Amino acid sequence: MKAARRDTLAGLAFVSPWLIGFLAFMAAPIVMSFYYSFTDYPLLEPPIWIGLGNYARMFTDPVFWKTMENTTVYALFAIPIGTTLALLVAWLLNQNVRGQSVFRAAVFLPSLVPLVAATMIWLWLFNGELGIINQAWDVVGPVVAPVVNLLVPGLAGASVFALTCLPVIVLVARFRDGQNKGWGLFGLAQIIFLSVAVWLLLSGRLGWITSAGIPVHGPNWLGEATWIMPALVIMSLWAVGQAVVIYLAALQDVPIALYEAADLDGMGPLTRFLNVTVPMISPVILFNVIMAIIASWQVFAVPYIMLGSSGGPDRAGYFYTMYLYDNAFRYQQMGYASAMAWVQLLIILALTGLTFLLSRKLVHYRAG
Amino acid sequence: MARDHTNPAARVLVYGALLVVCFIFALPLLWMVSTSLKPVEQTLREPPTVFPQPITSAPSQAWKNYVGKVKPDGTVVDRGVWTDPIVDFPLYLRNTLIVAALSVVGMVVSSAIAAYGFARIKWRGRNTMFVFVLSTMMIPFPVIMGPMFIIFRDLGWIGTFRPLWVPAFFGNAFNIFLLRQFYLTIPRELDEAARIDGCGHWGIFWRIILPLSRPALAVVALFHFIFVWNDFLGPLIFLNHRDQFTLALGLQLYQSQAGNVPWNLLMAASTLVIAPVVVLFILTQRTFVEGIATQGLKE
Amino acid sequence: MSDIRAITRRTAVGVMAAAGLGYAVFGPRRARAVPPGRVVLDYWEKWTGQEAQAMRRVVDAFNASQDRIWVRYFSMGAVDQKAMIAIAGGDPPDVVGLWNFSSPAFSEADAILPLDEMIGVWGDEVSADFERLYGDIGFRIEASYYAGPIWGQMHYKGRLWGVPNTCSSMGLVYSRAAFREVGLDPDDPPKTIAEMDEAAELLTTRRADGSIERIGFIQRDPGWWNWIWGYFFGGSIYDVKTNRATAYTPENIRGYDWVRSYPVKYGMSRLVSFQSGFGNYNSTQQPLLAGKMAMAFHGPFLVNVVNTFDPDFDYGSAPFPVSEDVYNPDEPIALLESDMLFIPKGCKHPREAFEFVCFTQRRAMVELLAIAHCKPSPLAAVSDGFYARHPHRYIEVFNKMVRSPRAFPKPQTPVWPQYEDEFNAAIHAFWTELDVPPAEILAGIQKRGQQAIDQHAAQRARRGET
Repeated sequence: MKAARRDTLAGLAFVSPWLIGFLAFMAAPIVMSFYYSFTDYPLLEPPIWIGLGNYARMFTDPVFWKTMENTTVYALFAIPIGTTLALLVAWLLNQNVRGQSVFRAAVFLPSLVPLVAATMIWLWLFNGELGIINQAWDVVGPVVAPVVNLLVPGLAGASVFALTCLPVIVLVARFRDGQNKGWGLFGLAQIIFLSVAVWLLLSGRLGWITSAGIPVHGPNWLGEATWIMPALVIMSLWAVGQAVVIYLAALQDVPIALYEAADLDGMGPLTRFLNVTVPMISPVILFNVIMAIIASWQVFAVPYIMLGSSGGPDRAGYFYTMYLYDNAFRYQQMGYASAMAWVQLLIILALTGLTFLLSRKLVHYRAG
Repeated sequence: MARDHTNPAARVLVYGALLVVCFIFALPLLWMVSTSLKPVEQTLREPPTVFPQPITSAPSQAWKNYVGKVKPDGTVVDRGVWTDPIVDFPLYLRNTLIVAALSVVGMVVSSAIAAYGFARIKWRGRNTMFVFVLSTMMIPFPVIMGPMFIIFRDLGWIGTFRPLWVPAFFGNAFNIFLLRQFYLTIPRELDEAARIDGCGHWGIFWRIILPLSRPALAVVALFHFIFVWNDFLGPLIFLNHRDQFTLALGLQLYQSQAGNVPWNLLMAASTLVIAPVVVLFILTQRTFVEGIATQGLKE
Repeated sequence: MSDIRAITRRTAVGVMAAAGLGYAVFGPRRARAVPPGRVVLDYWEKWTGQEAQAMRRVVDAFNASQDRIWVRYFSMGAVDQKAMIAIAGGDPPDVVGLWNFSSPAFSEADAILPLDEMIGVWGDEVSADFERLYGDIGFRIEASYYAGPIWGQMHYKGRLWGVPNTCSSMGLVYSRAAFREVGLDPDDPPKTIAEMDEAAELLTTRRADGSIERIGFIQRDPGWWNWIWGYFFGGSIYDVKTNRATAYTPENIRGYDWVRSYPVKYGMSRLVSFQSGFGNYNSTQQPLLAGKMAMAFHGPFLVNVVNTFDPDFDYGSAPFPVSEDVYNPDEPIALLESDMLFIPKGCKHPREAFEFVCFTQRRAMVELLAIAHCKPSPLAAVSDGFYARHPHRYIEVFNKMVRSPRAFPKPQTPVWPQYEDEFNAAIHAFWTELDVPPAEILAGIQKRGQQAIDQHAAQRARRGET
């Protein structure tokens, strides 16, 4: 008895720093934030209770919905494209190449760069007249664009769309355990994803997809509403290095025996990748997708620095957390900001929960 | 184990693809450095040149951009990052280092202690509390950012560095998890041996676990240093006076409101901010990669 | 072998860490030498570059003239945001330079201190001090000292909140050379919108392939006042008395129909790609200087850019053209903005801050700033030689605009940031979404603006204030 008691005390003593910190810097703020979400609180004056007023206000606040839309569109594109790219690069790195660590370093380094510095670099790269992206485009565009647009109108948009949707379909399909081929929850996930994507497309919110193909001259990336989101997605791809390293480690963990078995079965490399590799690393993919979802809902620094606090033309780059910050510190609406924060928390929990639920059916955990 | 391709054509393709990929990833950083070596007029040129013209001017221009020259009476001869009267880079560097040093020390110590409590001591409620710890990883910062501001305001800490490093002394779920995983790999026999020698929990922690967990502690220190070095939102909210800015906030000062952004200076400043991270990474690559890998492979 | 490499690496990291720690401990401190024994005031101001230098001269003059107070000048980007956060965080500066349109939001948020109280308590004291130190008081914070509209802008809801350090009126700036080139009289700039459209057409030149070489006028540059175009048709976007957003009114609709007529007339995509080639404001590539625009809506401070980058540029200034039915040459319609000094709540040394603020209002200081910033004077009368020393050839035009009864400020509502953001976000629609009528866009802006206003009013009502 006494030893157990002593252990309990010791245990609590060891975790006390974390516990105190948790209570002071996490539990207390969460409770406070919950309370504030029901108040009107201009920061410089005391809060006043208004019940569900803030939450009701969200429904009719067009700026709120715009930020929701922007954040969703961003996540919708950045996460699948980023995952595909990371897997592809990781697979390349895994091909027993010499100098693997150098290649890996080159890919990983950009994800370590301080976000502010990275934003400055990309601000410079995306500059409408002077950035090298447009300078290069001006060389290639006048030749390539008319030809491509003539042959395949809307090619740019269509290919990006495919790039986003197909991996999701393919990956999700391959997650399936060999026996369970019914539709069920993963089918539901695919349907949700595709319907959101199609709705965005048809409602004209993805202007750069429906516009007439590849522009001849480099667009004014950060100055035109339709090109801001593509610019931000492209920039997010630069930082996939972290995911690449994780996937690489996961790939290296896949037992060779499985590959040999696949070879004996006569599978080609692509089939092998889809039927053996992906299911084996599916828990890692799942984890990364969850972290990416959580991260995409907290995007703040990059658009804030690039576009200023109003979110750019037409608020095209106005993200959820930016509006939250503006409400809390600029518009004297800490109560409303707190309500937004709680909605954000619930969304993240819901998405995480959904992903976990799906994982029960999708993710293949190795036995033992 | 990596796959072994015996097909030479395939190998060429793979290498080729990797080279292209790596070049594209490295391009922004290379362009940043290239811009930082040019005088302002050359950055505005269309089409741009890869190297400053003439190339022999690069070292002297680099000195001008990175260091600059200011006369004792304050007039600016060459505007350079280190001596810029508007953006006090040396001061911001110092501020960032102060916050980083305090933060890293606090984080390492507190996480190590807490992780021991979760890994090595069996006590009631431990597992439930650990689940709590993990769940805090899902709390987005915006939820607590407002109330934290208010708490610190009431403490009178706004306008000091304290809001940035004091919370680090209370650990962080991510690092606690990492260290706990590591501790679990340390054989228990060592604990038993120490206990026989008369050590209590603290003794075991101090004499056995801590020394053996240096690699993991290095990972924690490294990751947290990078986090503090890169942190933007925290300083944005808690630091108001120009004297207190960190590098992250200082970089923003080059973005003027109406008119020319001195791209060459901004790129030079960015290079200076990125350089320590790059150097650190090169020196500790393996630690880094292992750290990320363990993070990713956990379930 | 790899062991040695590992050890070297570790040493290197160790050395870096030690160097970092050393720098952290012994590195440069805040390097501002303050003479001992003085009360130190932190003054945050929005200006950088040349404009900051001018203000620093005022600050230096103040510091040199007495020995009790020392003011430190800080250039801050997004000074209003930073100030609001600092004040809310209990860590404010002692004096902050904002704008006239900041007083509604800041005063209602209880973030600044009313100056009328301070005048009552310390006014006589400071006047006596100034008399002693400088031989004359040199300022009066009274209605007769300031231009009429400026005095109005210093107040909100009946109380005095800020004092102006500079002011600006915006109007038409044009290239006289371009006028002569197309046969227009450079001394007779357009006075009405109809004349404006005619002149713009004449002044617009195209290349052989149809792309634009020079545009007569383009509302989207510099794009700092996207909400303003209805005012030149006699409208306004906000009614102070009823606290209503009035974006959706006939005058504003006419105004934005006029804005819309430009991309329709000149070709929307041509205009957009033409404008994307515009250079920076503070450079030789400023569109007017570079010959890409012939007429622009701008402030007198543009001439600072002219004098820096192209002193020989032959410019002309006039009030901006208005719709015929509201034309009155004696009462030009002009936007009047002023930069104002406020004392934040929580300021640790209000008495000293008040003294500094009063110092900046001495005529010599005000005119020093006006001349250095190339702006008109906010005071009712100017000293002899002000016009002679002023770098703007037509500063009298701007001075007249400052004093016009129809000079208008930015809407004096605390939700101005949100309301202005609506216009900034919508200009894209006005300019490029040609199938959406401007009236519809304005209706949307009004609705959302009114929502923000009502929401704010409800907040105020809850606290028992009106």
